[in-house]
Amino acid sequence: MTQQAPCDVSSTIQPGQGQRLDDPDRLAALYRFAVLDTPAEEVFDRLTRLASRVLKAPVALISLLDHRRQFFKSSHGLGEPWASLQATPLSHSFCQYVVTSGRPLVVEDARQDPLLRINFAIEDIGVVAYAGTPLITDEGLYLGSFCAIDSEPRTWTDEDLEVLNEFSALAMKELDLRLQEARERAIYSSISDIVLLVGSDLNIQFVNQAVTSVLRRSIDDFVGHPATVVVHPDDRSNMTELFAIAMTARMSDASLEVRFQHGNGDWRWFDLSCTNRIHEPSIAALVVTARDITERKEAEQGVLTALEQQLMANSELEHSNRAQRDFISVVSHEFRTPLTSIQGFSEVIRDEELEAEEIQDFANEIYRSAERLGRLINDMLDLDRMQFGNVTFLQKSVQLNGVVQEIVRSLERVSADHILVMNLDPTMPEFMADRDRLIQVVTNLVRNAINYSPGGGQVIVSTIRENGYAHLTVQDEGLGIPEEALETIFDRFTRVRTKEHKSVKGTGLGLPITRQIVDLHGGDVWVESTLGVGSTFHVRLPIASSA
Amino acid sequence: MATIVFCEDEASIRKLILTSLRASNHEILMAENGAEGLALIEERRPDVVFTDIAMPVMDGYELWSRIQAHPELRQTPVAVITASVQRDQVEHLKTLGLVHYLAKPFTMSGLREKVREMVEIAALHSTSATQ
Repeated sequence: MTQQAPCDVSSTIQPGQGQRLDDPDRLAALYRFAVLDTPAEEVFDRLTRLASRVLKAPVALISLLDHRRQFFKSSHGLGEPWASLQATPLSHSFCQYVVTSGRPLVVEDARQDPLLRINFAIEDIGVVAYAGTPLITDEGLYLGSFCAIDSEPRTWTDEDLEVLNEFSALAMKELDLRLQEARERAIYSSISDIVLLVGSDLNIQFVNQAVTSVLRRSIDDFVGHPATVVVHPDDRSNMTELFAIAMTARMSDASLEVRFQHGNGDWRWFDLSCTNRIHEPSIAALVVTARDITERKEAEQGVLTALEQQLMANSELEHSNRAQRDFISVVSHEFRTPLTSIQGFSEVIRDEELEAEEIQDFANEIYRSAERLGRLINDMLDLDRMQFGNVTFLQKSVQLNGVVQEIVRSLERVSADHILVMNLDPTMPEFMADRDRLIQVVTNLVRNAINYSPGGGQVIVSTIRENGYAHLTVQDEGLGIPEEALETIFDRFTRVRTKEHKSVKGTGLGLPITRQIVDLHGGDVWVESTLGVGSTFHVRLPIASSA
Repeated sequence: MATIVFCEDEASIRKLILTSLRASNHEILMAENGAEGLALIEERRPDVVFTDIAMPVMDGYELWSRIQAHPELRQTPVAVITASVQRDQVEHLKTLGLVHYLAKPFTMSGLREKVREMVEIAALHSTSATQ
């Protein structure tokens, strides 16, 4: 608070108990108030106007002294050019003595004063009587003087001095407030947090300048609008909920992460914290602070994405390792079985005395097993060639229904437990395809249908002519395929891993080969299945290019 | 003379086993899968069982657990004949208690040796059971 100067009426300047004009502490304080060379303001003008009236003095000034001049933050009744200049040189200043003496200066008639009568203020400004009281900071630094001036000689009363002291104190109080405000503004503007005051109607009542720098938006984009105005649609309900919680729970602090839309259209992440000050009359709102956390969020997202990619890569690797292990185990198994026959029967033929008939029989076993090994090797090589594109198809006009009939006839006797049913579209045209490959596809699917329905049942092979396509389906009443395996069964060497499926012989090469062949014909292959009910394999081949 | 049940889904391997063991005086019974094998084992109470692992209808694992669950059959020595001979597969068999196995492809002498060994184990079992 401003100190009151002692009221000591004196007609002469007192010896210095104040500060020199160039005192660095005093000047530093003066500059800190940032009031020099600022325009007149009504709050100060009101003080000088009032002082002039109360004291019945024609002139009243709020004068601030640096080391070269006096600056008038406010002047009342001052002549030109000084009023406009808001300043005079020290040669025209009485107020400087208030600063240097640290006491009020009271002059009845300056012309009679041995020290003041040479002051240019007398001649140039018309100062005859003068009374000034110091403007003192909290730290006891003298910034200047609040003074009243008369062009006639005047006897200043104790009461006049008291009034002036009051005005000095008021002016000083105002300067303090300005300093406080300036500091707050400086702090405020340096804060990048957005501060919103949100009323109980959830409309924005106030927003700070930060929106202009942080979001490149104007204050008008916010004030009077709902609090969710530039919030991401997905975050709005969360935000409204946060406010509802904050309003019902008095003084609670709640926070949330939401996206605000930047002026350039980008979404930026903010950490929102909300304090309920609805019940404080001076605010009567929710105080919402929003801090930009986009960079942190992006960094987090980056880490997450990297982690996901890593996990994905790991799981892909694991999958391919597992598929590789499955492949080796399946291939090893599939090779060893015929190899056992070849080795065993040849051993028997070599070591035992046998009838010619038996030798013939065992040789047949060896031959069949060797054939099986050969097929296995061919399948693997075939798939490899197709996958690496080293295969040429013999495109000829093919009758699909004929192919199906041929295969069904040849497989009918394979299993006594299965009934093969054909449901062929008589309008199916001939189309261009590699007949042998088509036979491979249909055979694979029909054999699978039989093998994977160990309980028997119907296998229905249908052809349907669709718009530009030949659609073949093979439907069974078998084990079915778990949902997670519907795609992977078409991958190389991947087999369904349930016990029932594992008990069915297979290399895991049939479906990959089927897909390769269908792909190379420009078609699609897929499966629909219910575990325990059965599967339907679909093949769709284009017939548009048919001759 | 012992009674031996073989569970094997490959016809040519069944034929091979029968051929290589026909000189022995054992009674050899053949089943095409685990289910047939179990029925045969329950009916004939063999001294030894040989089983494949990958078979339709009922695989070798299931057969083994059924035998283990059966109080009167659980003492029957069981050997696995399998083409799944990778280390982890063999380890898995051991953890299940299937410690005897013959890997495919096998030689005739290998098969006969394994049969002799399993019959001996069966004899030891029955001796300790009667004592």
